[in-house]
Formats: sequence, C-alpha cells, structure tokens
Amino acid sequence: MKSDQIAAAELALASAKKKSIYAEVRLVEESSEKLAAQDESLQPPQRSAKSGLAVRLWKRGWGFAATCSLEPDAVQRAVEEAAALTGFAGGSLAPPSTARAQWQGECKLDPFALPLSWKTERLLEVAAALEAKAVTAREAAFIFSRKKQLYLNSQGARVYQEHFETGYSLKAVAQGAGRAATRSYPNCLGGGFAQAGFEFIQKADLIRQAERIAKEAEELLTAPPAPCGKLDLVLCGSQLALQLHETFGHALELDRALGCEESLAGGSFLTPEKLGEEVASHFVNITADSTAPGGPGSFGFDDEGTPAQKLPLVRSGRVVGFLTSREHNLTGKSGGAMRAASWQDQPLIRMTNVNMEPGQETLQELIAGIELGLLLDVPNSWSVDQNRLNFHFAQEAGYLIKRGRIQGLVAGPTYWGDARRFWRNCDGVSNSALWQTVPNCGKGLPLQVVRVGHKVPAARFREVDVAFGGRP
Amino acid sequence: MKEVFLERVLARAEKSGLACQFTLVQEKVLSLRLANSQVIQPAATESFFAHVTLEKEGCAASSHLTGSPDWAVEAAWQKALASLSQGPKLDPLPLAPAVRQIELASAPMPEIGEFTAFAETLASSPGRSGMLQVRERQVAVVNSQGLLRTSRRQLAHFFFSQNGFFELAAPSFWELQNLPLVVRPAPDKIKELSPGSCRVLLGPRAVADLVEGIACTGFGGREYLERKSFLHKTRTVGKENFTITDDWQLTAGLPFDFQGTSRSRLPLVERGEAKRPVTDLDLAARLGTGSTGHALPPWEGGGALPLNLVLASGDEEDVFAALGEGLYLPRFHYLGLVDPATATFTGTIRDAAWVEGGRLVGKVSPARFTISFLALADRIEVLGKKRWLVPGDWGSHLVPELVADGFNIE
Repeated sequence: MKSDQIAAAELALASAKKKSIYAEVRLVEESSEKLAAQDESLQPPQRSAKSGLAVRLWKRGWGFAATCSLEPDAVQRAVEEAAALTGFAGGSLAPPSTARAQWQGECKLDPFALPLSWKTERLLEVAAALEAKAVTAREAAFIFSRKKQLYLNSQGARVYQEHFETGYSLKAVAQGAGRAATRSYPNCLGGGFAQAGFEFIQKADLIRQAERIAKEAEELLTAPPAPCGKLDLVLCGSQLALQLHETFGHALELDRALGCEESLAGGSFLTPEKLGEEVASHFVNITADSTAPGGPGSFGFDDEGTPAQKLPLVRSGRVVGFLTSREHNLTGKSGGAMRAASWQDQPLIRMTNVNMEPGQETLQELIAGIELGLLLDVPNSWSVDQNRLNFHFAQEAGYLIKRGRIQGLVAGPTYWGDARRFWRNCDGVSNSALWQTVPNCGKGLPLQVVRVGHKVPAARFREVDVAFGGRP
Repeated sequence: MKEVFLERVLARAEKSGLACQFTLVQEKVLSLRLANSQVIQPAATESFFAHVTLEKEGCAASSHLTGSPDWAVEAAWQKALASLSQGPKLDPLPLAPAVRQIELASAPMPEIGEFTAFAETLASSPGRSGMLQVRERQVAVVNSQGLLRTSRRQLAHFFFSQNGFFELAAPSFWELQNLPLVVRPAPDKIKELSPGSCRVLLGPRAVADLVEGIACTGFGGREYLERKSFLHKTRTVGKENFTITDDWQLTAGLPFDFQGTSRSRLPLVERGEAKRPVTDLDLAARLGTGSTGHALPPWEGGGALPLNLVLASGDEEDVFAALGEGLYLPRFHYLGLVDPATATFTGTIRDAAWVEGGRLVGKVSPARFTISFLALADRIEVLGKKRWLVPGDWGSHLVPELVADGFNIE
C-alpha cells in the first residue's frame, strides 16, 4: 500500500477517535483478473481494481461510512457521516483487538506475474477438453485476485494482511433430442477457490475433469430420470458443502440466531438455548476454522482485528458453539467471524471455513452400504426456509446406486427434507475430506457476497425424499 | 458525475483510435436495518465505478476500477490497454451509435438526521425488523462512436416484518415519507396448513418474484439462444388477463441499457401470448434482429434480461374480499429454479397468513411449495387495481396484487 493511502487511513482514525468511544478504520485494495473461454474463443480478459476506506465508530451503537476517494475532505466526510449514524443501539462489546501484526496467505506462483498469453494457453487447453459430440456450449474460466488490507483501531491495533486467491470453473452444455443437459466442475456456483497462486490450478487435474463432465453432459441427454421415493443418499463435493452451508453454517451465525437478520435472511432453528442439544447423529462433527492454510475463508485476523481461530461448532451431533463477533457472542469473547465483503461494506458475522470432520469409512464402503440410492455431487438449484430447516436441492445429475454399486447416471434428481431429521439420519462419513467453495454466499443489506470454504468428506444419509425434478 | 467530466471521458474515447466503451456508475447509499425495533448497521457509502472495454484489430480487453472518478477512468483505461496486445481475437466490439443524453436532475439525498428520524418512526412499533435504504445512482455509458448517455435516479425503499410483511418504495425519499402505509398485521394465532392446493393472494413482492421468474426463464436473450427458455416449448403464458411489459418509465428505470441503446416500452406477454426475447447488440446480431435495449452490466458477464417489468392491473379494489378464504402470501423465501423448461420454482412461504371472509385470521408457518410459475400464471383469477413499485437489483417492477387458484403446499 502506498504511503498516501496509509496516511489517509491514519487521518481517518485520528479524526474518528475524537468523535467516538471506539473507532476502527479499514483500508482495502483488491485487484482481480478473470480469464474466460466460451467454446473455441477467449473472452476479453477482465481486470479490476477496487480500493477504498471504511470507518466504523461505536458510541451507543455502531455508525459506518465508506468512501472510494482518499482525498482529505472525502475521508473527513466519511468520519462525520459515521459519527452522525451512531447512537441507535446499546449493548456491550467484547474487548477490542490490540494486535500489531502482519499476515500473508500462501502463494507459490503469483498469478499476476505470469504472462497473460501463457495463462490463456492453459485455459484453452482445458476448454478444448470439454469437447464431446453433443456438447454445444463450453465454458472455462480462471479467476485470480489479490487483497491487501490495513486495519487500525483506536486501541492501537495495526494489522496488515495480504493474500492471493485463485479459482477455476468449468461447464459443458449438451443438447440433443429436444433436451439440454449441463455438467459443471467443481460447482455451478461460480468456481472453486483457494488462497493460493497458480499452483492451485496446476494441481487440479482440470483436463481429466473437463473430459469427464463433457462425457457426462452427453450421457445425461439419454439418461433415465431419477428414481422417486425414500432413498439413501451419499452426498459429496459441492453438494455436501452446500448442504452444510445452508443448514448448519448459516444457522450457526449468532447474529442471525439472535434475530438481527430476521427481516431478510431470516432466523435460525439453532438458537443459543440449543447449546448442548443433539441436532445431528454422532457421526457429525463441524468446525469453523479460519486458520486453515489455503482455505477460501481463511485470514490472520477478522475485520474487527480478532485473531483467526479454530472452533468446534458441532461435536458428536451436539451444538457446542456459534460463529460470533465482539457484539454478538456468548462468552464475552469474539470467535473472530466478522468479515466485510469489500471496502464499502461493514463487517458482519460470516462463515469462514465451516468444515465437516472426516469419519472412519471409505467412500466405497459408504456406497456399499446402500441397496437403492444416489450419489450426488453438484447442485443446480437450492432453497431453504428462513429458519434453515426446510430445504430443497435439485441436482445436475445423480449416480444411481444399486446393491452397493454405482450403476450410471440419472437425470434431474431433487431431494428435500427437514434439516434436523436429515442430519440425524447421517450414518456414515468418509475418512478423507476435500476443500469446496461457496463463492457467492450472500448476507446483509446492502447485500454482501463473500467466498466461504467448506472442507468436506462424503457422507451417507438414510431415507431421504427424492423425486425427478424435470430437465430442459 | 458532472457534464464536464463526462465530456472528458467522451473526448478520450473518441480520440483514442480504438473501439471502446466506458460504463460508469456513481452511487450514494444511506441504509440501515431494523431488528427487534432497534436501528442497527446504519451506513453511508459513496462509490464510483469505471468499467472500460477496448478493442483494436480484433483484440479486446476490459477492466473495472473503483476510486475517485478521474483516477478510476484513467487507471481503468491504462489497465485495459496494458492487456490489449495480449488479448484474444474477437468479433468487433458491438457499439451503439452516437446519441447524446444528459439527465442529471434527481431528488436531493436526505440529510442523515432526516433519514434516521424516519427510521426511528418505523422502528417505533414493538417487534419490527426490516430495512430502510435511499440510493442515488448515476449511470453513464460513453463510447468511441460518440455516444454519451447518463441518467441519475434515486430510489427510496423500506420494508419490515411484524406479523406480516410491509414494503414501500418510491422514486425519492420525500415521496416515500408521504406514501400511506397500511399495516395489516395477522393475529398471533397460528393456522395449521395441510399439504394440498389452496387459493392464494400474492402480495406485491411475491407477484414481482413471479413475474421476474417468468421473464428471466423465458425472455432472456442468452437463455433463448441456449435453448433454456420455455419459449421453445410454449408461447402461452397465462390467460387473457396476463400482460407483462418492460417499461422503464413506469418503474423509475434507466432510459438506456448498459450498451447505451435506447429502451422503449416492450411487450413481453400480451393477453397470455408470449412475444420475443430481449436482446443486447451481440445477441440481436446472433438472432438477426435489432437490440431491444436490455444489455446487462458488462462486468456481470453480459447477456440480456428485462429489468423493469410491469404487470397489467385488473379492476379489483379489495383483493382480500376477492380472495374470501385462502392463503395471503406477501413474499416467497429463497426461490430456486428447479426446471427452466416449465419455469418451475421451489421456495417457502414467508410472513403468510390465512384469510377467511376477506379478513386475516391467523399466521401460517413456513412451508415449502414447488410450482410452475407458468401454471400459476394460468390460474390467475383476480388482479388488483392498485400497483406497487417493487425494487430489484438494477431496476424496479410495478405490479398489482393478484389472486390465483391451485397454489400447492407440500
């Protein structure tokens, strides 16, 4: 960060201190690059840079203002506006950060230092592997970003953080016989990401995955419809990540559980008095871990300056913790889950990396324990009620399991249920976990979209309602 | 963005010798939330966003930046220029022809004191949760063909839930404050709803979602080209009483799209019969038609969608009386598209109530539905006379309440 930017942040803090009991300033600079290929052709490379300064003051409630201009009058106006917006809520806060630290995410191959032409050649190789006879639309993208952030507060905290994120997404659309079928990798949500450099793409074996999804998109055109009824499911990949995200991750955000999101995102079936209650089978263990190297939701310090932590949320099916902040916590301490999507957003309690711990069985053993069921990996539609109980997921495809073996693809499976019953019917978890990303997790108003990590194994769920949801 | 600044951007575009388009967005937002009758998360933000796409001899690149206007425009230009020589070979950049339109008149943003005072009146009733937001947004599109169009709009909006859901929006904060607020809370009693079909009265937010769901699954130009649109299977959308137009003038929308193409009132469904999909310059060329003026922001991946939907009203003044007995559903929660071929969505009901004898008699707990919006449109019995402005991401919709039969609760 340049010295004049830092000077603007220091000016903001000095001015804000005079107008409040507590003040904090975030200076953020982000740059990104998206390379995309559609069919044979590359799209124009998209490069962006976003920077600005946010001021948050506490004086009987928070006041927040942000500006993209670092000119002294704009900075001063932001401080004045933040101060004018305080005074509307009481409550107490957990102790503020006094950290003075630097944190840097891992990155072996700086994606911005690599020649554009070399990166686009790699992208076109992947896009070419999406080729199949019936595939009529192919999309591949590489996405890179770099974020620098300086956090200052009136208690003397000064935290500088910097990290890279690298991601990719693949999609094949097949058409034939008046039908269309889509397969995506690793999800249909906008890509899989890691806090890493280009090495993340090199390790991802994208050519093989591209060939697989192209073939599967083609097969889906003639695949039988998914079976209906009460079936056993194995969920893995982005489907288990999204199931975890929607029904446990959001439900364990304490601001939500306390009613702060009631009017928009909704409430939660996991209110604080549920601490210690059994809400899932003993196979289910969930951990919030913002310390994990490479995790899409990792950091050194959250956006209140609280250090990253690894905290159990569910142990042997019992709720043991929530995602918390200085304002909303149950222990007088913040769990360090405050994240702002950009320079112009105020921090909210967000998922960091909400992971499901591996179990004892292999994936093959989970499948072998099913007489009739489906293995599901990539959703294409999702919905959950405002208390995170009543969910519905539709899939791009399903792998039919009969007598303990995968038999082939089926089209259009959907499944639904009640989160409590669903998680209580989990009777097996595989012994290895892989990172998944929910890259478009939305919360707040104005809406904030962040990337959230979920390291998940595969898990088996008994007697789930399944139906054929149709196909284009 | 002042006129003199936009003139400088235009001069840069015209003199560059490159095919190029600038898309500029300046926003001021005042927002806050209500939770348990308290004001939380009050915020004031100012942002400026410059997006540029350049093309030279078949190579193209784009970049977007936030920052102070002059800096952001210059930096975005330099960033795109730096990657131009390495950019891919492309078809020529589609550019709208030269037009000059500068509309800078807009209602003034409220003072923070006015804004928070109004919020406190909203929060004064116990148990309210909701939001209040005033947003002033100026969009400008400038290109190397000599096009310079800009328009500034304010949208003021609040909603809250309190044994129901109540929402109002207006083209200015002043108008919003003066709109009559009719709060019709449901009694605390819970009405247990059995699975099955019922008649439903959809409130404005739910109707806007219904209309948007139909418009976006059927009438998006890209979706049509990729054969995901239901228009390839049916041209019947609702009955004689179902007419949707895209109309920026009635919805406080922009008079041009994100390529600078003029927008005019466009019928999408007329008396139950579907018309054409909407396009931008690129999609129009591929479909062999002219652009309808529905380009999306270039940083959102392109494509075309109708953003300012107007559903024709009926003549019913008392929609609750018209419902008689059934479900009052002010909003859907978390819609997911299950099958685009039939515009089938799943979601849950939210803030719903049961109506008997035209009166609310109890709250209804959240429950799931999975329903074809086309089928629901076909079962509309009554349309209200009054229409409401319902804000969306880049535009608003204008819709009446409606009564339909056959709403299936799972």
